[in-house]
Amino acid sequence: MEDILTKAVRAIQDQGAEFGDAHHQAIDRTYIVLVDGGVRVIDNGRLEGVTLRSRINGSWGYASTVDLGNESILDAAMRSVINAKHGTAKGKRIPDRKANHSKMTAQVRIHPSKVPIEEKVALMKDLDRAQKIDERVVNVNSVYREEAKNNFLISSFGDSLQWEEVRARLIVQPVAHEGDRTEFYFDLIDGTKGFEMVKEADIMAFGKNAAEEAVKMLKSQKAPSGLHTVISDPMISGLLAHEVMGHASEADEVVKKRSFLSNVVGKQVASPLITMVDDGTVAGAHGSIPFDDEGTPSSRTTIIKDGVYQGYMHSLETAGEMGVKPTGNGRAQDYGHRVWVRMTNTFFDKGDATLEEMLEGVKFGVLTDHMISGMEDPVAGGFEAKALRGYLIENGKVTDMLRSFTLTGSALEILKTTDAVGKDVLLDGGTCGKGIEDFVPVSSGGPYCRSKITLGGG
Amino acid sequence: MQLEPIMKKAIKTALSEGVNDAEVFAVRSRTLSVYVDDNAIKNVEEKTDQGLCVRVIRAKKIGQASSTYSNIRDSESCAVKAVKLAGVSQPDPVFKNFPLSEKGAEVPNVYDKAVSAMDADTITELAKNIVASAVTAGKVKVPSGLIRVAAIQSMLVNTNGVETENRNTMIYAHFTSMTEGEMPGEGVRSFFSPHLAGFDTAEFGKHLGQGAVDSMKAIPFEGEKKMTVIIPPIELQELLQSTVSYSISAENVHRHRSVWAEMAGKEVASPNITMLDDPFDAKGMLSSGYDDEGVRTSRKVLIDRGVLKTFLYDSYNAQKAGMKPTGNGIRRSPIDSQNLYRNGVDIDPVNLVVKPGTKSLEQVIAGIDNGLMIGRLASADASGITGAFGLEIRCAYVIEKGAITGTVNHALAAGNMFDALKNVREVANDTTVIRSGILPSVAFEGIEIIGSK
Repeated sequence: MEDILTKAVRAIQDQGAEFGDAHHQAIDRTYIVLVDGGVRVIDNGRLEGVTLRSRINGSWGYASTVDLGNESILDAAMRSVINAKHGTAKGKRIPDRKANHSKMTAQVRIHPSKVPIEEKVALMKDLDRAQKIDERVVNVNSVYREEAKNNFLISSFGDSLQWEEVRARLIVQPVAHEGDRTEFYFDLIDGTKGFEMVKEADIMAFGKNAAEEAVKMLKSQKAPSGLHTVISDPMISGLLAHEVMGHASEADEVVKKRSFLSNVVGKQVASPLITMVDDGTVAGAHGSIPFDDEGTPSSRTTIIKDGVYQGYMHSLETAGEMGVKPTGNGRAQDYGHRVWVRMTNTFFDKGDATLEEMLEGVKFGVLTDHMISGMEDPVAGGFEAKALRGYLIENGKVTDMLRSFTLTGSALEILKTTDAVGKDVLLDGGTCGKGIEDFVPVSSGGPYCRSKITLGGG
Repeated sequence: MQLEPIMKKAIKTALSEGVNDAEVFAVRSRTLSVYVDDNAIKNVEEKTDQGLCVRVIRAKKIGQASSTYSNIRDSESCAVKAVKLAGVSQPDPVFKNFPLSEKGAEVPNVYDKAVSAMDADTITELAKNIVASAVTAGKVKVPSGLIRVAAIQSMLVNTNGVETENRNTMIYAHFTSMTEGEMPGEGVRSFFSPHLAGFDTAEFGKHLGQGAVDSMKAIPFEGEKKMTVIIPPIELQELLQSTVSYSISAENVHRHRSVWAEMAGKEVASPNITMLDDPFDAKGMLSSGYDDEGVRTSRKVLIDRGVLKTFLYDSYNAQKAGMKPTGNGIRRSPIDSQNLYRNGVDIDPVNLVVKPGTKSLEQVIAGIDNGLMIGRLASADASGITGAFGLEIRCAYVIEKGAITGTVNHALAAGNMFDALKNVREVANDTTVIRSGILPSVAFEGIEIIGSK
């Protein structure tokens, strides 16, 4: 493969591209779903293809193919150049750099491909059984997913990089029903880890706990509406970090002045208690990568320090445009998707408060628990986070459980009201789309944070 | 490469591995995309993709494997993996066989040669037209945009004699606009069609630019109150997908996840709500004569004047219920053309159609004394299990005494979609294709609006 990828990149350069790369990926996935005691899906999927990229005068041309014959790959190289020539965008040249050479396998203790499929199915059956604690649990769902992504990247820098990314994920989702109420709860474990992640988990406790929480939710109340003191749990704190401050700190949004954070470097944008980073090097975290999809090694980028805005996340192109070093955030979903500036593991750093200390100061408020989803708003900086549930806080004590609600408001206004930040950072893995597609594995998180946030729910 | 030899090889391999029932779903596509960045053509992409998914039944156990296709060994290894996985699965007492052969399906006209023939010149021209039209709104730019066109061929064969094929083309456009200067407003607009003829780029660009201007003028909504709220097709489709489509899926009915599990024949919505599944509408993104299991599709009334008429079945859930599958086993996507063979079978309407009312949107607005018309939400999803929603309003039009008087933002619309469907004031007639929905704007009574101020 190295020879034909190298030839393809040379052909791209010969046709006048200032920069080009060829990226081969083979992605193997195993996916098992058990529902109510039965194996609903047992699936193995393989995607393999090559994408060729050319850059001419600030515009890009891509061509991808799953036909791995030499002729097909060279044809795609030519088509990428033709496509780039149809661009009208202008931009600075990507600065040249020293070539990188590397060949690495994923740093996992038990590679999932070495574990018999029978063992994985048996584990899922345990997880399924663990959720059946009560007749009110009317539906149980258990999902296991593993993925090994093998990359081979050749670029006009002279890079020749081979690396592997392995991720595993275990999800449990019981549904409880009583009277006219139906509620669900979910929990997950994931990371850039091998099967050791699953072996080390207490599967029975994991499933049982989720089912107990689903049953508890049958008694949950409607959340109060309006602006309240909210203690966000690590998942919801992470959504604020990722969706609003994170997406708006992706430098492609900044270069075109689409981000509300376009001119804030050096300015106080949050409470001095807030420090926020994107770090693709966190061992085992779901968003960690050795290299981004342009061959830049991943790194730790401080975005906010003590409330003062520091800088952005970059691809090769945006770093060249803004005259800084790339940060290893040029990522693509796979060979069939474009490279954008994307996050890795994005989180608020730890403070010094305990949850108990945070609760003590609240006469009336809400403690969030688990997120469902969030949405970015790089233009206006609006925050939207859907919480799976929460708790009422009354006179410093956690009281009634609250059913699903949504938090909203201006992120900058929320972060200026943050008056307590917890001691422990937790990361929550998932996938992130930009707009409504192009999903890459990430994690987001933080500690418990106490702020003023508007909320409401049905 | 033709799909037939790929599929036949996979079936032959599966049978030689000792199974009696096998199915192959294969897809071939060519996709061309153009991305706009800051009013300029930033990126042109061309993708060719082909692959297959093999499902087998071995001693009542089901296995599945999918793969991109580069050469005939991919077909063989995919079939071998599916058989191996079936071997380690567990017997399913319900699923006995893949669908049986049915002939005579109606074939909708959803393949447009003008779309399949598009090249980098023609697609970039469309994008340039949109930008040129959007910027006429004044001090407006287009920071991002995407037009994707694709020609897709999907085929299904199984050992029961099913051999079906669907061919469709797709145009999907998604653009944002923003005003320049401090406190910018943002507009968003999308377009979905199998055909090029209906894509009026000048009109699309004009509304895109105006959306940013309207949004810039928005002021924060103050207080909390229950109001009449018009939800436009672009947001309503997502809300209905996450609640109605979820609740009429036989899988969710069987798994006790559907709140409508016991509601067949009963009232679940206002009398002015009628919904259908119409797989033959030539405007529909997924219109097809056969679903993605090779079952013939059919027109069905789902909700008739508020009364729930039927659930939708794929072959698995049909066998579980002792019914015939309804032609709603879907693997394809209304906005994507890549890796479709990798998707599992989901139960969905082919096209979820909301029957339009008799009044224009302007007439519906004219009848509202005090309300909002949503311009743009952050995301429009409600819980399929409970129906609860809390939706961040990024721009909404204020309706006072039958006229639009301004725009607001920084608010939440909170409620429950299953309750909201029982409180429909009116259905307009501005039918639009949105993903796999064909639907108009709908005015709901009593939605709680919560301001951030």
